[in-house]
Amino acid sequence: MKTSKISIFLILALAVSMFPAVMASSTQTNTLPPNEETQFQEEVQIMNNSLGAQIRLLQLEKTIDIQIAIGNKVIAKAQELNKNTTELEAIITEMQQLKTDVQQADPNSTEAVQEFVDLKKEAINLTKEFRDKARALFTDEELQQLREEQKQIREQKREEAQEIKQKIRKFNMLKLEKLKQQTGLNIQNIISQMKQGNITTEQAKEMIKEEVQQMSEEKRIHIYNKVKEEKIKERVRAKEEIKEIMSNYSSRYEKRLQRRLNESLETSKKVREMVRERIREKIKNIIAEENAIEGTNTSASGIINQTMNNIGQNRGEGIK
Amino acid sequence: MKKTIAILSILLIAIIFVSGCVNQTTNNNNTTVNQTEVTASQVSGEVNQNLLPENQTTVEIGDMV
Repeated sequence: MKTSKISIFLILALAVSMFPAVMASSTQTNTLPPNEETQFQEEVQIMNNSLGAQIRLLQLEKTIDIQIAIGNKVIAKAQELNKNTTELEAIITEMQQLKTDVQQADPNSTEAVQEFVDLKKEAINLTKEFRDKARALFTDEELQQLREEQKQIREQKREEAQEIKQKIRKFNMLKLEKLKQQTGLNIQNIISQMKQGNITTEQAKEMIKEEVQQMSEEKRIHIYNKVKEEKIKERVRAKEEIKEIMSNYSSRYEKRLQRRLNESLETSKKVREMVRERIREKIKNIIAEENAIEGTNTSASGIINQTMNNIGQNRGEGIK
Repeated sequence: MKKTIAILSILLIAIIFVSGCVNQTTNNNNTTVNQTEVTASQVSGEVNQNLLPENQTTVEIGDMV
């Protein structure tokens, strides 16, 4: 009797302890690799105001724009070598749809962070897919040449982004204003010069260094603790926000894909069909994954229910 | 037999307890800051980290080739 009770307890404990591991392995769409998670946390920290959200969405749009330019270069090269480029073209068409979604995202919305995370995650996945397929088409030498071209396109397009640079400078100015109010840091001169466009952020950083060197030890400690405290609060908030966003990522992704299925595409019939086939496949995978999670939940609770029934039965038999 | 099961039970409970504690520690975000000695470069480093680099006009999403 005692042995059977212990066995039941063991089974129950095992079922409970296995639960998190099973859940973690079956929710791939709703999770981020650790390095991406850290990066997302850092990026969304500035998105608690409209200007920060505008900057991140513009940066994402610019990045996708660069990827499309590089992708078109790769496709042209592959076509020169008589390779089949239908799938690469389909991925670039999906990237164009994604770029439109980024352009339509509202930085003033309360869902701006969620949209940024969703769209960036999709951009990462499409980039990876393109890279894997492109690498299979070329020799090492050809890839090396394409990487050189990729680097040039990136550098050239990054330089063109004057609007983003201006917004970053404005963001930094507001950040310094806030810091001055919170800590009493003597940086009005630096802020004024930034406002007038006389100095860049990098020059402002150098001036801040000089200012801090002249401060008393007591004031340094006060400012350091204040800045650190704010930073930790922002980090905690960002971490929680990412966790919440990722918990229901797949349902939003599915809706977005369903909408894109009905969008008209300015491309050849072959590529259009490939895009729709790829989208349908992704929707199918999301549904299969959701069903698998439900199945896991049911089977884990099934083990527990079965064990509880056995306990009941054993007790009944004991009474008899 | 009973002894083995008892030992196994204790081991299992210990594993669950330890993994719970580790998880708790990971999630524990300590927001208390109380530094008593800092150098000028530490302070300016913290302040300047709050500012975004102007040439960072893109986000990182990986290479296309």
